[in-house]
Amino acid sequence: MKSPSSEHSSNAILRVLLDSALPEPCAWSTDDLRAVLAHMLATPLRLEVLPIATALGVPADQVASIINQYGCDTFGTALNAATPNAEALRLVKAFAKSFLQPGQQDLPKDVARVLYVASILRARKCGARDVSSLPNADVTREARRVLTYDWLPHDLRALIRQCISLEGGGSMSDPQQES
Amino acid sequence: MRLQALEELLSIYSPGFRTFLIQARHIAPDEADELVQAFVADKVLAAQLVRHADQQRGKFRNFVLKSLNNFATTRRRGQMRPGGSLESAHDAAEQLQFTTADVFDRQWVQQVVADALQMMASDCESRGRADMWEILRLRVVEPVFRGAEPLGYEQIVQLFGFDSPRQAMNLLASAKRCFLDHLRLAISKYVEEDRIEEELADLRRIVAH
Repeated sequence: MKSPSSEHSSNAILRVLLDSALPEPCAWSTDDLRAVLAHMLATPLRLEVLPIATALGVPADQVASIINQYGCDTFGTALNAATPNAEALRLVKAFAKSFLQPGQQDLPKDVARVLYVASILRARKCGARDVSSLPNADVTREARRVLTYDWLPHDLRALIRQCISLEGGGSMSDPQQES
Repeated sequence: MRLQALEELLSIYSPGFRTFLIQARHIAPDEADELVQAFVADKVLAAQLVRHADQQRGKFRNFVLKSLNNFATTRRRGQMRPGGSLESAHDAAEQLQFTTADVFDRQWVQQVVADALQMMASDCESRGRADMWEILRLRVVEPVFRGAEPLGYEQIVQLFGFDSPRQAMNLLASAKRCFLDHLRLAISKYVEEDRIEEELADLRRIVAH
């Protein structure tokens, strides 16, 4: 490796590496976040049994058993299934929520927020309101925030908008569909 | 201070000494080189500064720079032709106050970071953790040092074959921790263990400006 040639560069690298508040050494671009979310949606739930079990405070076997019992495949299919499964959505929500906690760096927070909001709205849409105790107003606020992400895929955007309408969020405007 | 630590310290500080003399004292590069060599031989290696260093814990960087400034002033005054102009020690001291952080400290940061990165690269290679070095290099080092585009997430997945985003983020976080470990190691080469955190705090303060 060549020696660094610029003191500015040294300062920049140290700032990002020494600042524990920054979730990643370099900020992810919009394209990156889109790719991370796509990868997350394609990730089998069985690969994330441990963090899900930790988040729920239950044994990993129990989570694995739920995944097998309900035949949930990936995070994406859990969210987009024609007949959504509340248990699978509960797993997705628990997983996502754990990565929204301060200090968690294993998933970009915006990606975790998409999974979190989508799983709650989807669960409520199929009648499983107990998946989250969050008041409607808070869910709607978070959903509006998620809709500002221009890297949100169309199917999830449509799902979230539809769910918000059902939640009584009104005919909300979608910043990414205006203009 | 151990002799080895002193040598490490000099290798870290010398580029900063030179830059300080050129930029803050407006001394020609050749003369700056000679002054740094003479300073190290006369003052540092003769152990005069080292003795003071132990007495001035936590202030050594500022102390040694002031010593260099005084040394340069004295040397140049001795070589000055009658009637020649040379800034007074007072002016130089004032100048020093304004330029220390801007010149010497940043040069010091650059040396420490370069040292830490070099050690991390070697260590990762020898431990069979080239992946950890590679992700930091492609995602952080190349972009900030050479203006390269940071490696995108899709390219990262293609390169490393991650099954989930969490694996990628984990590796990045591990690489960050690994860099910090090596930064501590780089610092520990020239300060005692109980002063490492103090030096890190100094680094944070300097790069925050």
